[in-house]
Formats: sequence, C-alpha cells, structure tokens
Amino acid sequence: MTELETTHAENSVWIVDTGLFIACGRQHNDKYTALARFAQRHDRTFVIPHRVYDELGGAPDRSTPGETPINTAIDAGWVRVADPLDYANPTVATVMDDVRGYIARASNRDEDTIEKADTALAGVAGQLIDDDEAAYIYLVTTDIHAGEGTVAAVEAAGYDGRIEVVDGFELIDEITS
Amino acid sequence: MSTAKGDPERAVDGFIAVADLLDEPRLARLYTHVLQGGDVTIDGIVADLDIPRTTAYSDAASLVDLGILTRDETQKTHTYTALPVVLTTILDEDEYTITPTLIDAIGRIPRDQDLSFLVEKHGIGKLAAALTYAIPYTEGKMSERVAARELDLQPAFGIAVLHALREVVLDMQDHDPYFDRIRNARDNPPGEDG
Repeated sequence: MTELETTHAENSVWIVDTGLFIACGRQHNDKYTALARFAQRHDRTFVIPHRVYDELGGAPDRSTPGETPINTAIDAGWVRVADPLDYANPTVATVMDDVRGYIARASNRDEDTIEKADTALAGVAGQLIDDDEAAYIYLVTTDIHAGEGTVAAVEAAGYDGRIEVVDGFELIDEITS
Repeated sequence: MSTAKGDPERAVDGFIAVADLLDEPRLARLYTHVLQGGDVTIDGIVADLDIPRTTAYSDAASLVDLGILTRDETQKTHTYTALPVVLTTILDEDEYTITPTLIDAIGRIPRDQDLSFLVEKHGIGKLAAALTYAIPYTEGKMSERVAARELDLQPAFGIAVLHALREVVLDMQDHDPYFDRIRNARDNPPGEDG
C-alpha cells in the first residue's frame, strides 16, 4: 500500500465499499481501529456512496454491519459521504449503465435484475473524475465484480489509467499484519 | 456401517447422522476438525478446539456411534478419522446435496455473530442456500448485492453472511471431497418458492 500511496499520492481519492467495513468488523473488531489508523496516518478521507451509508445503517443491530461505528468514523473525519449523484452528467449515467451490464454478465443474470443502486460505486467514481475532484481513484471493495466492472466502465468513458481496484480483504491483511 | 450398495439401513443411519450434525454445532465442529486434521487424538482435539476433555471424549464417542468417525485402537493413543458425508435430499422439485462444507458452516454458528443471527432468524435452510452463493462469490463469479437480494437479506447483512461463508469455502474446498456436488447459485438460482 505504501507503493500505491507514493505512485498516485497527489489528489487521489479512496472510494470504499460496504464490504470493507464489514470485513473489518467481523469477529475481531480491532481491525476497524487499524483501518482508522491507516486512514489517519496517510491523511486520507475515505469516500462512501450514500448507498453504502444506508446499507450499513439499515443492517440488523446484532449483525456485524449493524455494529459498524460509521457515524463515529464520519465525525472523526476519516470517512465522508459522497455528494449526491448527478444523473444528468453523461459520464455518470454511462458508467453506471456499463457496470450494470458487467455485473449481470459476470453473475450470470439478466440485466434487469441488477438495480441501479448496485452501481453507486461506479457513479461516484465517474463523478469525482469527471468533475476533476480526483486525479486518481483507489476503489476498495470486497466485491470483485463491482470493482472490476467499475474500472472497466470508467476506463471506457475515457479515463484510462485513472482508477484501480484494491481488494478489501488484502488491504485488511496488510494493515493488520 | 455396512458398505453394501443400495443398503437401506446404511442410507437411513447416514441420514440420521447428518441430521444430528445439522442440529448440533458442537458435534459439527468436532467432526469438521477431525476431517481436516486426518488422524487426530483426544489431546489434539482438546488443545485445538479448547473444549473440556470429558466433552471431547463423549462427543467423539457419539460421532463414532453415528458411524461418521472411526477410532483406531491399535495404538496406545487412540486416533480418530472422519468419514466424509454426502447426503442428497429431494423434496418435491427441490434438491440439495449436504456435504462436509455445510457441516463446517454449522459448526461455526455459535462463534460467528452473523451466522448465528442468520440461523436464529431464518433457519438452517437459509444457511444452506447462502452457501450456494458463497461458492461463486469466493470464486469472483457472483456479486455481493445480487446474492443478498436473491437471498432476501438486507444488503449489508447479506454481505456479512457471504464473508462468513467465504471463510468456510476457503477452508473446505480442499478438504471436502464432495465440494463440487454442492449446488452453485450462479448456474442454478433457487426457484421463487425455494
């Protein structure tokens, strides 16, 4: 991860998916502290789509995601909720459509079974790049489909070499080892 | 246990053994531990599972009685070996093959907050269904939210269940000789009523 940091340190943004917070909290939630330390040490604020915030907040109380202290993380400043998606932005709309098709094909399902909300990660990535708010994006997810699909869609929209996937499980292993 | 093909006594005894494993996570955990470890002694079980010696003896004896553990008494220190179980249940049009991978998941229930909550709310059947998604998910062939939706679970909770079962799949894919016979939801999504 140190290597990633130095490669694209300038104006890079970390977009983080629901699964990373869950993987941090499962069984031993000291991993959550390690994640906070990682973000703060590198002076990072993780950006989460509103969808991710809603998913964590809507989880049953007695489950791992239901116990994720996401609001504490937001108050502490190392997590922030992304701006609302601008569906009128053609890049955002195209990227989200592309990812929808990608997830459907990869999961062997009809495209109409994939909900638009499933593509929120891609929408946020497309919007941050298109609005020049990010020169480079690290997309941290435990959903290989969501990650690979988003990279493919953002690159197809003309932003080749501006985004990469970080495997959430590997990140946790790295920051807790 | 007889090995004669088509033996009804063996089939029914095997069914009862698997039912006992599904119903008792403590036995399931011990069974899976022996399956993964090969020749295992009571000392090894006590140390690895951190359970009382009396429990290890009585549970191992129960599993021997059920015919799914064997005890080698030829050496001074007895060793236990597990027989891999496979049971296909067919109810009307619905079919499911239970293998040691599901037994491993059962054994983790008391120590896993998410699996425990899943089974408390939805039963063992939902755990078995979730496993059919966890297999393609672990292979990178099933999206988290597609799986959560089809399992009718809140998205973040569904993801937590997939993460729990991913650990089961990673641990068991090399130890379960019947792993390939577990239904895969990528190719066979459950029916609307299933």
